Amino acid sequence: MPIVFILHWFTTNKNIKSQNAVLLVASYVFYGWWDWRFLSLIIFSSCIDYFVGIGLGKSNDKRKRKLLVLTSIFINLSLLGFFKYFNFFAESFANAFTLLGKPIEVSRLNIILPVGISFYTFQTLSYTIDIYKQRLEPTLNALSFFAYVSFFPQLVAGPIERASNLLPQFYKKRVFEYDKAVDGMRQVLWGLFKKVVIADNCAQFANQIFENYTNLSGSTLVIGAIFFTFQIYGDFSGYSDIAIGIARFFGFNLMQNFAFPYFSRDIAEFWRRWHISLSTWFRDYVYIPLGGSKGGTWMKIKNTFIIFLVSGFWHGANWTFLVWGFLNACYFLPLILSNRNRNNLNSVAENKVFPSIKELFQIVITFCLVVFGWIFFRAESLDMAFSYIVRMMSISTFMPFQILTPKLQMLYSLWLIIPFIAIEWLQRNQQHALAIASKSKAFRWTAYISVFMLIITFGFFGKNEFIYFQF
Amino acid sequence: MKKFITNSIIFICIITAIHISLAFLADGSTDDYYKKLASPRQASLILGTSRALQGIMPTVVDSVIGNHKNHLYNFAFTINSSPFGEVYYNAVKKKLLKTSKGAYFIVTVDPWSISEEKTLDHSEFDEHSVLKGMSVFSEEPNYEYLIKKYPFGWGMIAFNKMTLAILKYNSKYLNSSVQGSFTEVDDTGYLNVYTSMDSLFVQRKEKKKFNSYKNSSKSNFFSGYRYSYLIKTIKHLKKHGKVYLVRLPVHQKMLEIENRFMVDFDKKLLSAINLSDGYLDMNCSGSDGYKFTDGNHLYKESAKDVSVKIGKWINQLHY
Repeated sequence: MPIVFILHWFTTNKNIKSQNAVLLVASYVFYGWWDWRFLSLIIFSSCIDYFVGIGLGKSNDKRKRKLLVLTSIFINLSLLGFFKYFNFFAESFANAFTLLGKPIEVSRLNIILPVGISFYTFQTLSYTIDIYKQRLEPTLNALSFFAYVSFFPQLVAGPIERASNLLPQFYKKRVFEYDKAVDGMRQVLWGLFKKVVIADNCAQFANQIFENYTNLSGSTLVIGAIFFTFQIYGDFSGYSDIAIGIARFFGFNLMQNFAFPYFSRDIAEFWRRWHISLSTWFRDYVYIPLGGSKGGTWMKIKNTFIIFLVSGFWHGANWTFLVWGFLNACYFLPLILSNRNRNNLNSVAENKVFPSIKELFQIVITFCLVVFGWIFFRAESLDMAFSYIVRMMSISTFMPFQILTPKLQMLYSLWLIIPFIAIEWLQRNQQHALAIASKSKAFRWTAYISVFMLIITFGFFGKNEFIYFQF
Repeated sequence: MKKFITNSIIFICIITAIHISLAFLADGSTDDYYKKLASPRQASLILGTSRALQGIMPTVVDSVIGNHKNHLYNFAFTINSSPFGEVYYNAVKKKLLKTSKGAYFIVTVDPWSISEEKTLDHSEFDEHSVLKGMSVFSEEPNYEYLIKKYPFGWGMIAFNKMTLAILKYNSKYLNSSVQGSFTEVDDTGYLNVYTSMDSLFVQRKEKKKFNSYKNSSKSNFFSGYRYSYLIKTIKHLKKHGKVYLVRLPVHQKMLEIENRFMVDFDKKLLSAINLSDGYLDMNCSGSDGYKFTDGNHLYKESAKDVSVKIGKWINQLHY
């Protein structure tokens, strides 16, 4: 990173082409480091969309334009489908035949999922669809386009940037802004805290509990689900913070991907605050084209179920993700039926320190629903998820939870969640929890050093990849 | 830009300085391995897995046999880190004082340390060993270990040290409350495990351990590769002194699992026994009322008794 930073700002003489070239090479090196063979995939995908974009720009023929955009969608989704879903469909097909009493043999492909394929596929699709919808002009600047598709900070786990937001930033001359870079640094620091202190410590115990759930009490399983709830939030939003922060070093503004989702008062608000780049992608490219909420309540319900099922499927080729998506759609039902799905558009307890009793109650209920949903997300199979839930709701749920080893680590992992929630609560109206530019220098430096000391004391630096890398 | 770079450099310097200072605090409370790789090269060694790590006290053996010169050092790790193999063999060679002569070595053996997993290829062996990829075995502070192997932030070094000091001060909490989560490697490489010996707690751990070894016995088999490295290790140690093979006592149920897993263990071990200066199977006469923390590892009181017995046995062999 420091090398790219120096090359970007010091060797390019602030020439936009050279800056983009540095970013493109850095992004390809970054991606190729994991597996160079899959570089061809991202280059191929970029080429297709670049030329489809040009084709769309040149043509006024409706049929030809439609054919072009369908080509882009078909190729991109085929690549995604092949690498991510081939084995799932093959197995499900075989299972269906087995259930019908006619077992068949299907061959599985021994392929690995290219990192970030779900993210950059959606990113490039947004480009061609936006041009088709005439919301965006196609670019002739291949360097900018290829750099946009492969931009390394957000390449492997988002935020899924729209071409309309990120691509123009590759055209404009970038000038270093001190305040922006420092704020980026703060966001990276907070992201690191979320990842190595919150997520990775919680992961130690979430994994232990989910792997041994048959031997543990119901109350321990509840703790396991809560650990996973903070693991996935710390992990994914931590990555997003790091990506957004790093992009700011290079003068880019990426979209906010998480807006303190665990303080949501209903599930609709949760989905406006969780993985915003994906939720809005589905809203704009699936929900609205399907008719959105224009066709009355039934249409709204149907489209909501479709986007949640697709969203679940996007997360992984497993029935657990589909059920997770379905469950979230079910959570939405009462809100749609009572027309209250856009009730909580503002921030909770605005201009107040504490929420009202009603708000607190709403937050707790929403949080419990979300925690319940994460059990399906984390479980390896539907059997496991249901069995986990049944055990979680047994009489042993009312017994004290079991302490796992290392005991001390489990205790401080639980305790660390409390100040973490408190800080996020206090900063819930900011872009990120360490957005403290307006505070005094003494306050800022105390905060930096405290967060840093927490990272190096309680951070776990063993092998723990980001969860969303697998998607 | 200049301000940003200057501040970044200052920040990086502060981070580096803090880390260098923290590394100097690393000791036996850091984790179960650090101290062993930060102590000087040693003349006499105890080798094996976690059974030996918690089961043989070098100072006790030394005092029984009256060894005042080539002090014993416990260089045993865990079943993941120190089954016999290339990784452990190289570590032993690097830990051993090159000039060591007239030394003695206690090499503990059991069916697990000479077996391998069915599914693993030899190239995947010892992938999880803490000794894999290490080149520095006797430097303090051992930055290589802390950078490559220590899974926590280095602030945890100070945190652990402080916690142990507090727990030692309030010693009543040390054994009962930490439930085996706190350990400390002493100056001789022996691992002190501060654990509760509450019968229910121990029973739970035993059950878990027996199940885990039962599963291992299904997925493992005798390894010619590991055995060849046991022989190689003994041959190397013989150049420096006497080598004693010891099979440490385990819980009766664990012994049954082991005996089912490798019925002809002693027979398989024959060439290693012939190469050594003596073999002591401490399970022959039953477990003699030893206390185990989990059916697999000796509790420290029993470790002391076992160490005394080993010392007396070595004395008997020579006098």
